[in-house]
Amino acid sequence: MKQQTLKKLISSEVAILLVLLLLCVVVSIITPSFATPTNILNLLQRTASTGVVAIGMTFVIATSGIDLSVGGQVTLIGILAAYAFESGMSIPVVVLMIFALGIAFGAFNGLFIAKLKFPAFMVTLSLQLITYGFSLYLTTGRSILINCEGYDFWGLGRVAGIPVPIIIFIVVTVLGLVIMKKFTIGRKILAVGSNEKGAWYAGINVVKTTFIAYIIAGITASITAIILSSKLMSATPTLGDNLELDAIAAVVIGGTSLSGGSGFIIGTVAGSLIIEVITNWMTLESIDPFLRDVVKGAIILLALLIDNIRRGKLTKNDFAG
Amino acid sequence: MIQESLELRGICKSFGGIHALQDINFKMTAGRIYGLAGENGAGKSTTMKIINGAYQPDEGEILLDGIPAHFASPLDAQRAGIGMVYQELNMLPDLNVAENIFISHLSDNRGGYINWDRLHKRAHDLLRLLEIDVDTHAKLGNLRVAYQQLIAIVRALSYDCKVIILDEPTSALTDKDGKQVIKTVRKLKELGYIVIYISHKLQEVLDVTDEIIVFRNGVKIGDYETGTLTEPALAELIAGRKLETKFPKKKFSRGEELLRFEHVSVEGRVNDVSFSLHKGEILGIAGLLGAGKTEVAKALFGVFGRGHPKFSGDIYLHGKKLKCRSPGEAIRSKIGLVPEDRAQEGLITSMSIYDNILMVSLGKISRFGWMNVKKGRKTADEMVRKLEIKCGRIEQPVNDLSGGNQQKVVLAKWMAMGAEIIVFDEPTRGIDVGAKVAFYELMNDLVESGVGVIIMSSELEEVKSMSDSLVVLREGQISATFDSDQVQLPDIQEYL
Repeated sequence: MKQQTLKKLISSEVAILLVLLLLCVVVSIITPSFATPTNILNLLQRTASTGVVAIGMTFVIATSGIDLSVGGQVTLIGILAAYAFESGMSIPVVVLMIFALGIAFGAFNGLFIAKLKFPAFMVTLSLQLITYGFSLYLTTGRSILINCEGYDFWGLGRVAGIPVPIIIFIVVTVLGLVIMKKFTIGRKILAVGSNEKGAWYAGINVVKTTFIAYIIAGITASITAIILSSKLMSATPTLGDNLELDAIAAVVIGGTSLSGGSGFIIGTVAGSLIIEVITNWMTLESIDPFLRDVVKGAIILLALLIDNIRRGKLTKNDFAG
Repeated sequence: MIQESLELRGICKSFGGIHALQDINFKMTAGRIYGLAGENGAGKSTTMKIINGAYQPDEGEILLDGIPAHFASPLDAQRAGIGMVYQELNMLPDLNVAENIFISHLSDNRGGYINWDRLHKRAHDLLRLLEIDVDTHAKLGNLRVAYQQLIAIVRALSYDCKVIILDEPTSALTDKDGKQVIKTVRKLKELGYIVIYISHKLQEVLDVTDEIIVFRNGVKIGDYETGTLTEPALAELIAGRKLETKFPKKKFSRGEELLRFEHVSVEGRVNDVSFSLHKGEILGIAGLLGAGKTEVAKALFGVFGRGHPKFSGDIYLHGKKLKCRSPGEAIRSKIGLVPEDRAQEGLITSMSIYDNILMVSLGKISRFGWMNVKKGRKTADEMVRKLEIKCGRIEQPVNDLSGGNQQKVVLAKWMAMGAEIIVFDEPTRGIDVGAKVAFYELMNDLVESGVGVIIMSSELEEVKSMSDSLVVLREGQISATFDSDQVQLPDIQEYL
């Protein structure tokens, strides 16, 4: 019985939280400066921008899709927002525009992937190239300053001592959880991700469901664009660099399968934090920043290994059926 | 390498304390065709898997030409000359015939260099030996399924096998195509192979084999010279009892018309089909695989609603014209389909029993997309109780359930939604006898509660026994209609 509870715990969604906790304990023992309030707040604030897009990415991956364009979306949205401020638009108008752009990018992906059945990998790679390319073209590589009083609240402000990006991150997490677990769209996304044909035969509108997943990803890209551009009070053509890869890594570390049909929001949040904790620790220990990606790559492989052990895949022959 | 005989002596096998096979003895000799008969779970497939090395017996031995042999894996058995053609063909549709035949030994040298000319010649020789007329350069996927089946047999022969095990070789084929396969099977006998033939089509087993070994509950009931058996006698041997109780059909009084097909055609699949379904009755649709039954079901379910392939004719539900452009719209009109392809079309097998039961009722248990978990849970629990779905927890993935219980989940899905018409397409395929009877009783209950039920099956006895009126389809067209009570099986057979 006890062993069963343990097994259930290991195979459950919260197992990754234990891994995160363990990691934090180990890191704070090795590096005492890790567990200071300032550092933790700083770390959470950094996680927010990746974490938010990773939550959107979880929905896309749950449909067995992928979105390589979120980094590019964030960059181009940030730059267009900076130009909008330059032309004198007010904050509410610009924020509205930012969300409209995110939804439009999501709709672009959704149109080609859901409606026209193009492969998600290629469509979103195209949008990535288009958005990064446009960003470079518009800015000719320079950064655009944002001169707008009050906009910095979203990236630098605090409410009750807590940085606003952290609050945004928490809100998005809760929304993501609720959408995945309590709304029918969550069930539909999982159904489409596990068996598209079966979902269609169960009367689920596969096109609409897939479309919505990419829209969700677009919306999270908008939110991250706000967080990043308001933190820097400028937009550069490298604003969202590598965000898509960090997000995918976070989702995978969180236990969501790339083949679709599962979507662990809590896991994704923990995955984003795990990446950030390790990065943060390397900074504190003054380890060469160029090694960061090497470590990240290793973590992803480790996460996949743990996942396989958990599912008993290493000992089971998939083809024996 | 086996030459003359294959013998099983005292074979026992159990799984987790359940005896799958007890003391199985028989001997097979070259140049004969042996049929294995029995219900699902009777021990046929376990026996086969022991012969081909997928399972190892707990007790007993396998003798090849009188010498004991031990197979640790199917590869071992293959090296000893035992080849198996599975029901799922595992063929590679994008490769050509020669590649498919020699896929595991394309090259005959160590470096892996492929001599294509020689490969095609070897393939050609094998095909000619069996009198199969197929171009070795043809892409496999472009061949008729019957020929794909033949190529699978040739693949087994390419390993120099002496024993060929055929598992349901004609179940996916029309009668005509089946004959092509049977011709090849006879040729194998002529060439001196030991052929083990497994099929649920009793008439076919009686037609093809020299000897039939009957299994029941893991025990061999006996082996019989095929000439001494008739179909009813064999059916009784397999079931172990008189067959009246197999189909517990109840009669109800005929009510108003629920559904009517008028001149329904689906391009290339169904041609001008008309029938009507009344309250209190079960409509049976009989026909071989490929006769168009599944397409009729899918036509009703809105699968062809977007015009690919082209759909014409009219369907009336409660006297009103029905236009469904997708399954979603059919479901909104309260039509349910228990499909032939359960794993792909009936269920999301990796999701839970709970999720699957509620899959088409999401709208019913939610408001503005927000799910009422309590209500959903109650509905699902009620269905599990009502249909006696045997499961540990309702959160278990459907994958974990037996075929019969999975099929009950499919039905539960439609009952939870409140379907008014339910179409059962090959409802009891791959289900044990006990579960079958339970399923038939559920159909009776549905009819009694006013639900319109259509049953489609290639098992003639099932569809005749469970229906009140019967439509026979052949090559997409209605070839006959009967009052199910007033007709005998052989009379229907003529119209298949």
